[in-house]
Amino acid sequence: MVSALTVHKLTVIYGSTLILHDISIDVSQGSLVAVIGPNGAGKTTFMKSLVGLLPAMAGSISVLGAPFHTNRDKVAYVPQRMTVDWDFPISVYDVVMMGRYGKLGWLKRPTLHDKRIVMDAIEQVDLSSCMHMPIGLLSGGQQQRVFFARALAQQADLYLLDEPFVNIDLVTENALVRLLQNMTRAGKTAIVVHHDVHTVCTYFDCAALLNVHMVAYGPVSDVVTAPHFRSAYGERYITAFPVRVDSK
Amino acid sequence: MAVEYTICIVLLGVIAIGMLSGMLGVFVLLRGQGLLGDAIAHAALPGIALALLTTHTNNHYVLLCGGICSGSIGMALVSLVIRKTRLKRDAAQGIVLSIFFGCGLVLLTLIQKQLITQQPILNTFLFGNIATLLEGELYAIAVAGLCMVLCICLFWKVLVGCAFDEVYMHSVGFNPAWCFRMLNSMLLIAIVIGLQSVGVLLMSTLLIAPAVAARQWTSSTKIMAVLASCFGASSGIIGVAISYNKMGLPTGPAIIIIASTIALLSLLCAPLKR
Repeated sequence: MVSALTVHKLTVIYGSTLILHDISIDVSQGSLVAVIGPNGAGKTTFMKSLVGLLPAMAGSISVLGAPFHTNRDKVAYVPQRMTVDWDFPISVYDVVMMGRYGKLGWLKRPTLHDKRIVMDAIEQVDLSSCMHMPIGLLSGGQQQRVFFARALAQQADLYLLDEPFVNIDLVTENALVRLLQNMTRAGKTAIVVHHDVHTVCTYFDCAALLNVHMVAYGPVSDVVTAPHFRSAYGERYITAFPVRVDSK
Repeated sequence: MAVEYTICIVLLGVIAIGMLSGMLGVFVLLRGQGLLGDAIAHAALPGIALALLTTHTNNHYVLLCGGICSGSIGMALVSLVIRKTRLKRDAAQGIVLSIFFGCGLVLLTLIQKQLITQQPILNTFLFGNIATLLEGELYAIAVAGLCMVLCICLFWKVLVGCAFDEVYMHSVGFNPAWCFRMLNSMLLIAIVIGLQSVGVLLMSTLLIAPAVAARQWTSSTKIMAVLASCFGASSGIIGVAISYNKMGLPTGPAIIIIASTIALLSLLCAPLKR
């Protein structure tokens, strides 16, 4: 089976700073991957360069066996929640409908089919009761569900989520994780930037430990080990993460 | 009869200008760029002055072209400053608008001294004077306005999408830069047209105030755009009516006072309060 995502020797430079260097990764279809690493490791940059938001200095990215720009409609990107103004005068339904814009293009209007997909996506994240609410009235967890539903409405094969579990309630976190696990079981692929080292092993199959370079990539049990963490987070990782990664 | 005809032309003119600036103001407000209108209006002034100085005509279209040229140079300069320095957008806009405004004032003062004319040129551009609007110019404004409204309706979903979440829109294949370029061009034309009625100093209020008022009544972008257009148009109508009844009251400030009053009342009375 062709890989969901293949990144070969990706290097990204911003100004004169090297953000990512020589990143190679091969994600097989149906896997649920966590991207972890210290602050400033380039996790967000990595996600952004995967969807062409930041130009790569060198390297190649292919999605399902083809270059990203030809397979763009197979990728759904969920930016960090706090990058948008949640006071914007728009309803939940309209935000989720944006998930269809990629397929609709500049001029086409949503069809009945699109509307059905949008309602279905809203139902999946359990927001049907606030479908027509303005987004300004939502809680943090509900906001994240909206972003999630927008990605679902894209009906993509590869989902890229940037810090989806920051500042949301545990109920939403569990619901979204279960949703992600069901999706990957059904053959979709998800790559998630994750900050909580404690839950990596329970939520994800694979992990990519990033710190400008790719420190380690593989099944979580192989990646979450003391030597790897020491090399990514420095010597103080033990105090920062009192979890016994050795025992894994 | 002649007076009624003039009033009709002027009224239709302010309705068109008010609606257009109300609608475009919604996008300015939603993108959080309240200073943009001010920057463009000030940047347009030296172009208008130069056009006056070089052609020695009072032709509306020539002045308009001059304004659009220097307005776009001003906007390009703002982007350049942001890219090449550490300055943020508001600082860059602040600097560019005052430089351009200063140049414009100097040029207009020179013209006023050179030309033997009764018209107070400086005041016309600073505070606006819509009473001089001609029928032909009204048609031009109407056509330009109609094109812009059509453009906004056609690209509505992409414009709103980019204003809300440009990073996401970029990820699904829309280039927000094109979207913002389109909006800024429309804004530039609308502002240069509007300069004649409300002037450089007050133009940004005609953009922002109707949008601010509309936002207080609704949480839907569509309704907000319609409401803002209505508020803009009615500020124009009431402002002109006041200025015609109280002789000597300039139109621009009258329109702006009405627009601000609507915004203030909306802020105080509307249901969507924090």
